[in-house]
Amino acid sequence: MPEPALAVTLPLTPRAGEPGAGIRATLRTGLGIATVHARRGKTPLARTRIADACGIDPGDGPGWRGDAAIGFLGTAPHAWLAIATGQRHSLSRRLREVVDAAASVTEQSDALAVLRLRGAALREVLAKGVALDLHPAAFAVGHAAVTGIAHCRVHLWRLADDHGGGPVFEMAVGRSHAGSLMDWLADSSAALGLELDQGSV
Amino acid sequence: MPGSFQPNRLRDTGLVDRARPLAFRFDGRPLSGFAGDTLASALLASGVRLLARSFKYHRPRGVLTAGSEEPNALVTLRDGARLEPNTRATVTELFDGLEARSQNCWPSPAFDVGAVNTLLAPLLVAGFYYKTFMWPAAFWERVYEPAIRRAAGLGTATHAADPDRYEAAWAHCDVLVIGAGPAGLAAALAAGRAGARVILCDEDFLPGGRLNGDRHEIDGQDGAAWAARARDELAGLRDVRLMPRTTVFGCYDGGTFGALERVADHLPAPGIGEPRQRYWRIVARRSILAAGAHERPLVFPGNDRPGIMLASAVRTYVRRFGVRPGRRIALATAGDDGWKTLLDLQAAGIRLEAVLDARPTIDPGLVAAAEAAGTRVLIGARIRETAGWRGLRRIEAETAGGGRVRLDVDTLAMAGGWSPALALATHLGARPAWSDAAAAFLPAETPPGMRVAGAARGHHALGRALEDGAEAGSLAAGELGFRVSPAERHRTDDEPAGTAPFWHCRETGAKAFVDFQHDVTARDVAIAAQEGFGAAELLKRYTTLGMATDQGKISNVNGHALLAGLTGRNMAEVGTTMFRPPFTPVAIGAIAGFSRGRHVRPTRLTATHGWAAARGASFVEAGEWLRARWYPAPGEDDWLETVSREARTVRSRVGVCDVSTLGKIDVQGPDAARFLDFVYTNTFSTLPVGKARYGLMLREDGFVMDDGTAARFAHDHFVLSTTTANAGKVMQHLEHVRQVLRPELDVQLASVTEQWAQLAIAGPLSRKVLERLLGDALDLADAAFPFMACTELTWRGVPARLFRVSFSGELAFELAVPADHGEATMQAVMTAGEELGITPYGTEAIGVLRVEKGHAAGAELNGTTTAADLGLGRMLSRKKDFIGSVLARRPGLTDPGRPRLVGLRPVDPGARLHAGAHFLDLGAAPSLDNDLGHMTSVAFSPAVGSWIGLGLVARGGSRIGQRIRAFDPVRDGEVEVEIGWPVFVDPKGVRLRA
Repeated sequence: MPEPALAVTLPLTPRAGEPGAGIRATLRTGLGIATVHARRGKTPLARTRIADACGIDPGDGPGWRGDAAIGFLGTAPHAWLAIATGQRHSLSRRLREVVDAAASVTEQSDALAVLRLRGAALREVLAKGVALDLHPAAFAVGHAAVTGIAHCRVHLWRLADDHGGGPVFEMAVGRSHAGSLMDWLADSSAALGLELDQGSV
Repeated sequence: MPGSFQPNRLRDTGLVDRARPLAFRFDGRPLSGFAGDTLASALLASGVRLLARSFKYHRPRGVLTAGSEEPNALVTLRDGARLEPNTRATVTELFDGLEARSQNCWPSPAFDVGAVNTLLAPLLVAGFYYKTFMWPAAFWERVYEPAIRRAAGLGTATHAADPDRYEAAWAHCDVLVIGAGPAGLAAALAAGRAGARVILCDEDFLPGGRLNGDRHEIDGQDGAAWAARARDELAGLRDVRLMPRTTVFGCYDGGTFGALERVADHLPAPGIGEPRQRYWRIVARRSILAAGAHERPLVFPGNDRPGIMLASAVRTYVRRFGVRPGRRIALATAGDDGWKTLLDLQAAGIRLEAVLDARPTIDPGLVAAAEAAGTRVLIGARIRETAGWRGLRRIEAETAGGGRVRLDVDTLAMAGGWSPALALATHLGARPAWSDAAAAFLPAETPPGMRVAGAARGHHALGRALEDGAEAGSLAAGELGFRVSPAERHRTDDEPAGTAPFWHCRETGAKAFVDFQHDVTARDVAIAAQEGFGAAELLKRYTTLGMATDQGKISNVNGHALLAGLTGRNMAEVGTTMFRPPFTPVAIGAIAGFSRGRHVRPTRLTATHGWAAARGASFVEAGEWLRARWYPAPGEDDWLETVSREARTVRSRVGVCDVSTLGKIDVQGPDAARFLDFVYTNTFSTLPVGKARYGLMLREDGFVMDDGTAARFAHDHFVLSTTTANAGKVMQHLEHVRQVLRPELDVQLASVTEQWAQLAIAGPLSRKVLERLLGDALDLADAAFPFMACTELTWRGVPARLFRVSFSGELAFELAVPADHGEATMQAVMTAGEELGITPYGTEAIGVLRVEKGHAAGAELNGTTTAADLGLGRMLSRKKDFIGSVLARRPGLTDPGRPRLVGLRPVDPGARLHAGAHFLDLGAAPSLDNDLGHMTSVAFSPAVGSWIGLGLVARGGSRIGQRIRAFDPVRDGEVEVEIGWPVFVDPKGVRLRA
């Protein structure tokens, strides 16, 4: 008898947005997430192996480098958070094969809620929780930071603006903190409107 | 509209919007004003002059200023939960439906019983409290303090919860300009045009500062119109942000400023989703303080009557608000600056009755202008007294020649010179320096990156202020690499600016007020000087000069000048006191912002939270986590009944519990085992792959830090567990060891607490549940998967981990699945165990089961216990070095007399035990000398049938079987208990290995 599949419970529940919502938050689902931590003296080797296999040099510093399929976020010296579309629970295995003994890889596909944030009022809303300067000149596309919002630890990075020139950011927060972060987001965008949906963007 | 009569409203002057009348009430009386009015201007327009009673003497008080420095016109706004006392009417923007009330008076400001204090005034001078309430000492707590508390305070707060929301926000800029008067506008224009990111904050709702209050011309146009145009230009610049209604209240390290934006204080209620106020932290690379200056009053007897106002305020009410503050107006001045009032009022068609200039000689041009206007000029005049209890009616002055003059006026404008508003320049500790030329304290050194411009550094003349502002803006932008165009030159009208300091008219017996808000008089200053409190800081504390919410903005300099005169020193020698943030009062709610109620800290939810909530679980806060505490079954209404059933079911059948909140740390790398050997007291390099081991960590100082298990999944891969409480601390500790203490080890750490939902399945039937759940995926027989085995597997398509570990002392497993599948896994476990009688159990049952087994937890791992104290002394390896190994051998930590973990049972099985009780020998007096230790944890044990406890007892190991008392005077008194080994169930661990 085939075993029943295990249902997935997301850390956040989508909810209807008001028309003309000032910001839109999309909970990215089906992601493969892993931390990659280069072993002693092996950072260049790990970067080369990743670049050869994924087509992206993850760099060595704070920043987001990636494409639609996979992105690497520099989170600490010699360490990255890898986020891939649709390689849930298999990304870590694949990366382990890629880096071999050059880095330690840890499965994190369920550890983080990743939100893609858009909307004309986005910087105005983020300023209510993020102490960093997110002005386009100060926080360019590809910039990333590990920071705190409402006492929750978050990874924040900036993607290319959307077609209309509006800002696009992504944010990753620990799964257990996702509800509290959403409380903050809803409160901070209360006057502007918030729409929360989910999808494999 | 009713009450729409505004007898003092001028016909054609003012910047208020006469097309938008606004109705409001003061002390229940319906009144009206216009959009653009403050509460003070609308009250004055309506002929209301008496607004409040003073703090100490309950003197009738009116409006003194037209700005945030107002010490007198403190009123209570709104009602119900939005009631707000101590609001300055001079900065309260009028809105339709505003309800305002006078305060500090009963039954009304016109007739106030508290004014009896005036009769006691000879007693209530400086030092009154210190001298009077000294004796008898026993009276202090029972009589004096309660009486003083009743009389003290200003206004009455509501007890209802604040219905409004507040926000915090961050802003960043190249140049922060504080104040949108002429200097501030010029600075913002210069920096903004250069392309700098500029933030311009002003506490007013209308930018322009004195340009709106005084009559000025800039480049041939009206000053107020120039300000409006400057604002429009700034609003059009892309990287310039205008923040009206925003007070920059503090200057902090690193170019950080605190600011309060009053988002909705000018509205009946905030809009949907809008905060009432927003608390800003502004980070600026450069800042320009252009906060202007505060005019000083003159100190003369009876200088506090309603109708006596600052000259600048009189001009502002006339020019900006189109309000004539009185019928018959006189001016008392100490310099040329006050004469502006004559000319400005003349332009508005108002004749001054008289000018009383304290100086012996005056510019003849000014005298001629006054005489042409029909205004009497009194040279070298000093005011001896004033009359009019509820408002000014008359002043009496003495002229230079000694003649007496009596003037029947209802309004007196007083101009005592200007004090730069330099508070922000001193918040980081700099003291301002006295300038004789400016007759004021001026900023000396400024915080890094700050410039002071305009009147804030003594440049009162308009042309000079504009130039100064533009230069500051250009320099700031230029320093940051922006291309600055040459500073704009403006043609401005010339203005009289000469000021001679004049401080005080001779005493006549009537009070001459220095600090209006705290009712400090010239006599109080004299008493302080006489009694030896001659330093500025001592004067402040002895008389409370400058200690009110206005921080002495308009009173400090006058007080210090009086002191200088009395002690024969100059102003530089007397100096001044410190200003501290906030510049004006800030509501606590605004500081808290979103961090209020349950948002004070975030809440962490486990993967099975929704499932547990749907089952009616009761939750408990464990740090940030919410954990299921117990799961009441139908018919259970007592928590102890529920918890006992859960614990009993685990011992007799099987239970399941979410243990995901325990910290989980991934340790990888070639040196992972060596790393663990160093951080744990026991050895892990010998642990085979596929096995877990209990481990103990010490702090550097030798005390126990945390315990848990480490499971080995590969030669170079371990997964550690920590207690819930110490998860963050242990991760931080391990990172410190990795990065700082042992950087040579090739080891990598990652927290995986969030990644895995982990369920403990415990009880004699737990293996059966797992066999049903896992099917053929794994052989769970004891021989194949013994106690402390661990493995990775793929279960129903997802990666999973299984550990045979036990905290309950029963046969038990922990199943870890990716967190998104935690809830489905919990359901699957419950389904698999249904026929076997499975129960979910919560943290309370965990507590019962672990106390029965004597396992240490938070109450025992309390930072003061050693491994030996907890009975774990044998876990300290002697074959290797580990953190804490040296200091754990200190004599104090190896003293056999130390308290040791023991089990305790009440001699009377029906007695209840309480954690926190202290142990005493039978018959010993309850004293610290006789203290033997304390009860750390208790539980009602269904297995034992009574309450049981764990405790730390001095020499506990050698006292097994003895009886002592658990002394607990704040609860049940005391219980006689018997000491035993800290294991109440299955001491040989047979069940564990079943």
